[in-house]
Amino acid sequence: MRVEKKLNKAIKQDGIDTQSEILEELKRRYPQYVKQSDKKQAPVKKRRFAFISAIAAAAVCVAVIVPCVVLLPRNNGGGIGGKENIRYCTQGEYDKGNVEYTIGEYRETNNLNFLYFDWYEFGEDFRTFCYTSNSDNEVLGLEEQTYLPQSDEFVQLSITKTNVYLDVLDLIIGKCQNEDYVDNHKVAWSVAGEYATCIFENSGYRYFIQIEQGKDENRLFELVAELLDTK
Amino acid sequence: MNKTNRIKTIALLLLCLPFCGGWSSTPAAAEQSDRYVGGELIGTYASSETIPYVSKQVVDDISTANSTPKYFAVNGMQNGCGAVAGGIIIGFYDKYYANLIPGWDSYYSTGRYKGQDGTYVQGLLFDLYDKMQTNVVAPGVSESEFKNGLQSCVVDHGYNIQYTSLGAGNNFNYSTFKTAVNNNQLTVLFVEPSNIYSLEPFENEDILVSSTINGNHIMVAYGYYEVKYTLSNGTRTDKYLYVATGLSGSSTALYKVGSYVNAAYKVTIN
Repeated sequence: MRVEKKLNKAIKQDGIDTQSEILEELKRRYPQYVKQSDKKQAPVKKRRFAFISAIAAAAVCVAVIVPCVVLLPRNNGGGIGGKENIRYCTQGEYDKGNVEYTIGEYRETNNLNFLYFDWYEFGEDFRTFCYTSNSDNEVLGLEEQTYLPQSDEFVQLSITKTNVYLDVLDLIIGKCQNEDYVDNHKVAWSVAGEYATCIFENSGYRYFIQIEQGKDENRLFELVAELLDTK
Repeated sequence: MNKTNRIKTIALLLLCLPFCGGWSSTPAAAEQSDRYVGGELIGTYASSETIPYVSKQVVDDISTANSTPKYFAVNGMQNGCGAVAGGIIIGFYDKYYANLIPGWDSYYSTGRYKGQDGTYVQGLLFDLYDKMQTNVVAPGVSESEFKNGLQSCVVDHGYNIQYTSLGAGNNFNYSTFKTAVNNNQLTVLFVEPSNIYSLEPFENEDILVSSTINGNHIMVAYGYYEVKYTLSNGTRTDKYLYVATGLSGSSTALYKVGSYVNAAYKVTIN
């Protein structure tokens, strides 16, 4: 194709018009291609057969491979109470929605052992969100937002299993580039822009804490310690 | 073109057709380019720039009072960035114009904005989603559908709304935008796929990390941040807008002044 383009360009530049002139010019300028083309010219029937074979092969690919790619199970489990395979989910693959239960209630109902802020006595405006897989409705993560009137803080806790990666929470992983330790747990943190943010892992779960308009990493460490105390 | 070539061409076109995604009706396809569908963040933090400095001076760090509410699309709001941006605007002005969200206050007594309520805010977002005719003509909303839908919602609650253009393309009127922020007013941005940023401070260096929003998107700008670095070999000044992205997990970000915008409007409610 590239050679054809080159030829066309050359022909246009030289102002050659008729077909015979073009052919002569081609032979003169690019004898190797013209000769090769002549030698390898297959009979029309053979070429047609080759062409139809190619179309058939492509059709088989479309008919067999594409459905396989689409239909093969990509759900490896690994939700909030699920199996252990790594599961990376992008926004088209899950929904985030309000739920009526608290994280504490979910933990109790499902007999799970993740950590949570037991602030229900004195916090306000608890809002719990659930990240749910579109393909199988599996719970991929939980999130709870709480307002603490005493300190005028808006705190958000998100929880996934360590083998689950939700792209929106990945943002936080990328952002937290500082490291410290709280009770022997490595805590990655960031205080920038409008949020103080940290991440840590414990017993197979990953925790994301965000304080809106937080300006102090020590407050993050206090919250991590408080979470670890709820074991 | 001889017969064989014609057959080849037709066969190839037929083979390619399923991959083109070109099944939508003609009017929809025509409007596709200027519709806003929201988008996913891709390439998150894949690229970051380290800015080592000798000294740093924050020239400006101003935002509207308590910034903005941080709302996001939930289940059933596909391509809902218009409704979310409209909801953020209404939630913001609810503090100053009572009953923009009937029966509910979008803020605490301290002035801090509440989170996304499952009843009132969600109801508001779905109302805007419908009023903006999201996904009716084609996926997402157009600029006019956004503006008309938001206006309809505001008028329904007894107020008026004005949109004042702050420029388009590379001619965003930054100084007028700053005045709007200083007057506690929001600006809505209509953008093509573009980068948003986070500036992470370290000792003697800042790391500017970027993510790409992969679709046409509507965001709300509520502040500005200007920083001047003295480098070992000169100076550098960076200017950003604070934006409420409407994206869960990255609800606020920086947007570079000078980035291309399809349109920008200061929003006034009275």
